[in-house]
Amino acid sequence: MRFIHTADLHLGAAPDKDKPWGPARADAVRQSLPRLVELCNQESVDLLLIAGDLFHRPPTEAELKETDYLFSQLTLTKVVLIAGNHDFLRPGCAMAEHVFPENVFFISSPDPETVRFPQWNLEVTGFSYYSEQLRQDLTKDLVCPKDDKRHILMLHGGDAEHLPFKLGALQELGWDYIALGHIHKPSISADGRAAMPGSPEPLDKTETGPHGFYEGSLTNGAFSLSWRNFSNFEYTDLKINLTPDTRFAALESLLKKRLKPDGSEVCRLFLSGRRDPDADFDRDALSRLGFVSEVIDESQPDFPWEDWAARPAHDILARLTAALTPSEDDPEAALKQKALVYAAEALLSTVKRPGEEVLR
Amino acid sequence: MKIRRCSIYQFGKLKEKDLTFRDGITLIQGPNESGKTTLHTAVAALLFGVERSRGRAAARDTYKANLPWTEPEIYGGALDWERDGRRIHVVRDLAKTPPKSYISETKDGSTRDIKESEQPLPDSLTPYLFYNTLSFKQTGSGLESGMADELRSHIINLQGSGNESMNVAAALAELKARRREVQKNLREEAGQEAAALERDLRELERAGFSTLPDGWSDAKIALEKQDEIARGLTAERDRHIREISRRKKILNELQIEDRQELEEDCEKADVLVKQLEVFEESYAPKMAAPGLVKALSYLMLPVMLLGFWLILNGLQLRHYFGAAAGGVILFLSMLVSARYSRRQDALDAQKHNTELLTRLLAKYVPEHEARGDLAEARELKDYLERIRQLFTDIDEQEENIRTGTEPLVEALAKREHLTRRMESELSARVRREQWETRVRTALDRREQLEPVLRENERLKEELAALDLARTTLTQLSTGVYSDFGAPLTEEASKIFSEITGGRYEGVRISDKLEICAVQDHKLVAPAALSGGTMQQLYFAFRLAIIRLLWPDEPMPLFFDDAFVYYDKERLEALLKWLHENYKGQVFLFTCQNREGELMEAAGIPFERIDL
Repeated sequence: MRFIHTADLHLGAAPDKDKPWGPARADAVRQSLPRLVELCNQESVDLLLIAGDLFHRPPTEAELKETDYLFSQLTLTKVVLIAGNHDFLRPGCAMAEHVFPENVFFISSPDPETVRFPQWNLEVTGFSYYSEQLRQDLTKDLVCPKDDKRHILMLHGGDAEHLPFKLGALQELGWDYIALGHIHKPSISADGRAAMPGSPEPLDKTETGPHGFYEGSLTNGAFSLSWRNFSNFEYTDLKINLTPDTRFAALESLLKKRLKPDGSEVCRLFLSGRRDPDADFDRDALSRLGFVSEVIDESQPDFPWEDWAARPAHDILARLTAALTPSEDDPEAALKQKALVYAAEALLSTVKRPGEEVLR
Repeated sequence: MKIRRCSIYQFGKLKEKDLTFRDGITLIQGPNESGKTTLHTAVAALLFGVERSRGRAAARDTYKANLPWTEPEIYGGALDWERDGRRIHVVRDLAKTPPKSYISETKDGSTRDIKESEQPLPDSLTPYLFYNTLSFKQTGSGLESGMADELRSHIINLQGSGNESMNVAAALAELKARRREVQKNLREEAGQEAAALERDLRELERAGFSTLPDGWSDAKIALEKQDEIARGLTAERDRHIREISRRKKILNELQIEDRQELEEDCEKADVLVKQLEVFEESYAPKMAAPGLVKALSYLMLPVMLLGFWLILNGLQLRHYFGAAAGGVILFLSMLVSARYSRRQDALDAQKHNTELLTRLLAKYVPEHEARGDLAEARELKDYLERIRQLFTDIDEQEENIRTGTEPLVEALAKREHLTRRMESELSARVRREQWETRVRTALDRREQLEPVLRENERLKEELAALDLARTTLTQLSTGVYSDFGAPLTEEASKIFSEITGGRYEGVRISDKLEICAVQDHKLVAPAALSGGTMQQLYFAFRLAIIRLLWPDEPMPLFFDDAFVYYDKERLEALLKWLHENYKGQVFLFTCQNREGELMEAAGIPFERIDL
């Protein structure tokens, strides 16, 4: 028996809406389900697990009809589906009332329910969200039944506001495989018996790294699992360390070389290090270079802090440096560092060089 | 420290000047553009050397600004100065790159070359301090409050060791402006909107809507059926009503109102027709001569009388034959008479009937000329019966309506019930759609707000950092005041009181870090002081600073047209004070005769150099 475990397709989401590559992202998200259906057919996948957030929003009847069509195209595959925090249900809402095609098993109950597949000696248990948040850990009593069948537990959540379970505790409940959803970054437990596939398409500039799903098989009662890339697109973080000698043009040409022209990668640019205090780095110009979603400037002007600190104790810059240089474990280190730069910049902006005034 | 001699080879517009200076006041007089400020700069340049700036500052640095206009290969001069019994001779050739300096020291009659750093310059005398303490420029052209700021910055900067002149007040203003800029981008309302959205979402999570019952489509079909039934019943009823009204309209046109009367007339017509038929059948063929019948019936009376007489006579006469004949005659005549009297009756009845027919016809068909025969009577009868049928029909229709009402009411009620059910189901459906729309809208809006809120967070951090920068700077500058302020204020108060001839008791630094004058035990803010008084205040502070910086050494002072805003009395008081109280050299650069004349008049000794 071959299966695919995915989650968080977020159909209807439109990442980077205000960016030039936004429409392409929306298309990719929309096409993730048809692509998955095609893949299931091509590879004769028996079971498709969708662990919540198939939709980005509680779906309308029209949207459900669209997915019905796609699910009905599945020749062999059975689908088990739960609702997550994004497509949470209400009694009587379109999705709760919806009659899915016969091959789709939608567990629409807020309490755990089980779908049985005697042909594979397999049972899948799960439940759906009925609110946007679920602060209770409802998994504590979800003990795996003791019988000769294999059991999969499908869950959506894993953070403080969405089913705050602990993976370790969860694994002690005895399930053969725990199919998770909600966190968009893929991860897998050490023993490979619990996995979070992440979203098949990245949905936000912070969702860096590869995106895809887990595929697996159940042979002679034993699960095996492997990762598979699915998205042809990636968000990345690009970190550039500035020195006082870094010129804007050099930075620009470096970026031009680094950025992919085909749009298969969009990066967040992090500037760090010490920059020339007089240099003017135009963050907007960097954003306009192409596939740059955001420029985060964490660089510091290259002031001679050490020299200042070494000045006589009553010197204003020495005092300033002493007052605002954060100690090692200062919780306000970032704030103080920022304030120090601001104060120094403001002071230095008023500097008159010797004789300057006389000659003016 | 004393400046003894200044030889200029070439510096700016000055060329080949060799000036020697004594103690006390030296008045350096010359018209505008004669090089007073240049000489002033040259003294500092020769004393400290000139560094060539690079980059942006080069365009207006001392070096470039004073490059001689002709023969730039000769640029520099020599300066002789004394301190602690040592006489230093500095020669600076600024034409070289980098500028070359030759420094020698003469002590106890012997001369030796020394390095730049070996010069016995007073502690912490930097070019910056030279320009900001010893050198007094023309100030206070109506910017008195700005001057107070500058003074405050001086006090803070004086504590520094660098060459930078930093203005804390300006820096604070800069931070404030920056804060305003950041604050402007902050979208506080986004936070409120997000909170409201969260409330809405929680509310929507709780909100219920009745679910659509099973058999939704059955109910729809039932309603459609019921609707059809009700519509059929209504149509039938309407048809009946239409029929009734059509018949009533006919009756109305015929002006027949009294049904009773019509019924009676109808009966009459019926009887009439029957009687007329009987007459027609039984009498009419034998009624060839009604007149003869009449005549005969009249004739029968004498015959009867004759018969009667014969009877009587025969009986009396016992003529029984005669009597019998009489009886026969009587009998026969009576027979004939009876027969003819019946006919007469029939004729009478016929006549009566004809009259009746004529009356009825006149009543119902007034325009018709009545003949009064049987055919007419039949027509009338048919006609009246048709009219009667109208009434009967109306009765029947009304009965139909009566019997149809109940099912109709039932059907309508059923339909109403079904409709209401459908409506409530529809509204549940609408509510569900509304719920979906509201949830989706709220979620979409929240997604839109997310970057705004993140940006707000970032801006708030910026604001916090800017605020921390501001409070820290304020605290530090206040700290500088508290270290330095008390002796400074004391010294400045003394000087201020003296040069104002006791009009002011002194100066104070207020809580708001403002430098105020004290008059009659009250603080007077700089804004309330006259320009001249502000100048005096400034002078007092500057001199106090100098005295605090170099408490044991009279330093040379340079006044570069610094008294333009002083009136005569103030200037005289100041010059007198300098003469009497200040032990160091005083260089007055001026383009006016005022200072010289005043000092001569006041008997203040001074050296005069004309440029």
